[in-house]
Amino acid sequence: MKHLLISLVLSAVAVTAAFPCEFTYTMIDAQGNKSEIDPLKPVILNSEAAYTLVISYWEDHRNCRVAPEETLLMLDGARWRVLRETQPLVLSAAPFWEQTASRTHEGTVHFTTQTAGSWVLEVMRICDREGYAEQIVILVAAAHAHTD
Amino acid sequence: MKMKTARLSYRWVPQLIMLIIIVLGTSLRNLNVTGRLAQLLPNLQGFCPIGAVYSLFRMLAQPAFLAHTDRSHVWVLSGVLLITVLFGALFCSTLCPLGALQEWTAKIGRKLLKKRYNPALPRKADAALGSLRYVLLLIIFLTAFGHISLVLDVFNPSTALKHMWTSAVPAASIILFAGILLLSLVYERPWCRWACPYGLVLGFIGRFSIWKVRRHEASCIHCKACDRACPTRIGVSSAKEVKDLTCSRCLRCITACPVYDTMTCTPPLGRKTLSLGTAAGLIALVLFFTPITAARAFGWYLPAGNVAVSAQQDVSFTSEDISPFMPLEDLAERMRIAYHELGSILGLPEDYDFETFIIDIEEDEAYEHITLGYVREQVHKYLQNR
Repeated sequence: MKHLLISLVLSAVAVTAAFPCEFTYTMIDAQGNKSEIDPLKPVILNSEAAYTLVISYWEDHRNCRVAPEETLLMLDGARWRVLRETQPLVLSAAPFWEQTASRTHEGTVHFTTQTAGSWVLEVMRICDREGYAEQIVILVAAAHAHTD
Repeated sequence: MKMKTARLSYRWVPQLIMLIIIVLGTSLRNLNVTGRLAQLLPNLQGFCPIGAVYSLFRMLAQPAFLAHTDRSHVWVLSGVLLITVLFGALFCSTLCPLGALQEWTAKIGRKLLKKRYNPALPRKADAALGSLRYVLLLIIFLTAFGHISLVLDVFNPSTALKHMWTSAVPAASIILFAGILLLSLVYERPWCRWACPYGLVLGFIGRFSIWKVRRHEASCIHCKACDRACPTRIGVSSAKEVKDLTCSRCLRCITACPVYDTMTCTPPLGRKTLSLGTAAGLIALVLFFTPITAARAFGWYLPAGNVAVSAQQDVSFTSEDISPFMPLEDLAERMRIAYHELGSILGLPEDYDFETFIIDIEEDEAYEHITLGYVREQVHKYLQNR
């Protein structure tokens, strides 16, 4: 019985370790319209518009030693930097992180779309446990031509 | 009733062989000695009690670990598991250098304390001490599965045994090692009985071993010689089959039994020419080295420090494996190319600091274009052309 109990506890702990931290993404446009992002599907945004991306994650591993601020945001393979005009999506300010529950953190990312095209935003948390890596494809539609 | 005659046991021979291989081999490697002798002594990674259990759990937690680690772990574990599946935890009593040192220290203790040596502990105290093995097992498990982060060497007396005179050994390990030897002067195999997580794992596997230690009730005279001979105080005389997890298959219960064929180990080891202990030791030695020898013969044995990389490892590396926090020197190593060659692929000068993390290259305005994406793209092109 003692061995069975130990085996069950060890198995339960092992199973929880198999899962990386869980992320959810929400895109909010300038009018305050919210839409949940499914990383499997591209997100379509308008050109030259301001957006807010809310990244929320739940620590599956507990006692995560990687601070939320260390979450890497990479745009098309380069670090997504504040006010870097050469990047197709211009980050307005450094992501702001807050802890919303004991193991839940929420990051707010304000940006404006600058260049039309298809861009890949990589979200990564690198640690010696499972870590996390996800890609979100962002399609920025070309701005309409003015005809006045 | 047929009584037995005593034979001299040479179990110390395989024990000494293993101790020499482990301590001398590690010492030569620590000194960077690369002679014929150093090459002869196999690098037995994952041999120690903590390292072996950690490797076992890491392989379960992350099978990919095998691709990035010294493959000698696998062959060392295979040898030990082979012995255990056949005979139970015979490795502990015949090959483990830490066990051997405790056993030899015990001889001094026996001379000093005579009959007072290895006194029986109150059952509760013995059980409480024995639970230390479970605690250590849990700690290793949690570390291997990434739940906690600990330097396991502080619990590892083998680290002190192998690297005693180097600065790499934590003081805790030396104190633990010395404590175990001192305790061995009073109690038999204290580490094995109360703390060794490896013995616990092997003892558990040993429960399902093909050959076991058995007591035959029909011919037993209930003299309890087997109980008195057991170094870990297992109640052998009240069991038909020894299943206790602390049994290290020292086979002393069989040797101590005065009646022929009452305590047995199947197959009947060493009945004709050798003593039981000698035969068990030799068999364990041969079984232990069988997977390692086979692996060496087929080129699958890749110990630490061996620069040879298998074709499989080369093929398995892709540009997607490049992590932002991978230093350039690691990338060069994974690609099996020189630093200057990687520099020319990425457009970096030869004198560039190759310890830089890939993510940090773009911090320098001159190399702002060398982003993680760029590195992956260039490496992908290179690997495709190669």
